[in-house]
Amino acid sequence: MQTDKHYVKSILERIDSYKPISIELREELLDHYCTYFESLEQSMTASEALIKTFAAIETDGLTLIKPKSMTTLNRLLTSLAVALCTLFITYMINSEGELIHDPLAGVTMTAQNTIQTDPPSGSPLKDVKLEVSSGFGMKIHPIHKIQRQHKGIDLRAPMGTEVHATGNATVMESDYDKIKGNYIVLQHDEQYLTKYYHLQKRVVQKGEKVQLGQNIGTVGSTGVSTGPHLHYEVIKEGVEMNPSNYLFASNQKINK
Amino acid sequence: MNVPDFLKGTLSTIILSLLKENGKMYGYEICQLTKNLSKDVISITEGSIYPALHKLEKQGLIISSKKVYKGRTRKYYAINEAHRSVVQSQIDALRAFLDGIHLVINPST
Repeated sequence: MQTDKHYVKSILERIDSYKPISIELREELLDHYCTYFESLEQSMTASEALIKTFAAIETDGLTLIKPKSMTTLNRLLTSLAVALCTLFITYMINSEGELIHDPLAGVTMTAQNTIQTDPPSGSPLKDVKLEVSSGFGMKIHPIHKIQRQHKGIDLRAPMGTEVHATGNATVMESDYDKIKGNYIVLQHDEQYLTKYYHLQKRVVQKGEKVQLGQNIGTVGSTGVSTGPHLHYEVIKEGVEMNPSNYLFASNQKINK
Repeated sequence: MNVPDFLKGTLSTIILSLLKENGKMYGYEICQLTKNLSKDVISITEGSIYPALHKLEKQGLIISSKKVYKGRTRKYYAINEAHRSVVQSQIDALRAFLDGIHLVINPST
């Protein structure tokens, strides 16, 4: 019985290598060519019969099956496939019109504008010993004097200290408001966001792509702030995480 | 000399006639029988027989049934008894047409 099935599989594979056909027709053609093969086997070896069967598939009819004999389901599947291909191609071409994503490569890539799958890492302050003036979690608000959940950490630093992106990211927001002062929100990948508040100056705009370690602004005291510090947040899938857990460098390379 | 062209208009009626005479048959069987009966003159390809069978089924003139044969599915076709009269008139019409052709291309007597 094992040997019996072998030719059926080979014939089916050969049929499948031609134009897409409906499942029903595929079954029917399989039966047709298997029966043909079986009739040949009576006067020649199995491999000879298989070669002849393949030749029959080639010359006889499969290439002649016109699209209008396709079932509505098949037509639907074909249009769906075309639509998906168009979407896929559109996705692969970025807004500047360049092809940025090689479909054959793995997810983690070395090119600049790619989706990062590493979480934020390293210190957002350049060359400064990290001084956490206010940690993550439930705190008494220094100005409003009420209990509030502190969604990030405050890092004390001199005015003007360079603030760095803690990962390859896109600038989601770069703006000013009365509470956050000058602030920047970076989108790292589908999971992670980092936020930088109370900046003195912002040097990036919304939509810009930044690299790990790239300067995005300087430490200030804008917004509601008692002194120069960086308020830094790490958001994972919409949930505030303790940034202290992300302050140490991972295996990411810092691009110079 | 071009059998497929001649077959274009007549194939479905040929199928109907064979099914009427021989009862339930599957695709390959129809091709084989045609080949044998016509002494190899008429050979039907897979590319033509299955579309023709499906079209006839869609028209309701034949009905299909499936059986498992050697681990694969085999589809059989038979005349739809409800439309036997329509089938018969189609076969009669072809016969009359062929008689007419015969008279046209064999002028003598």
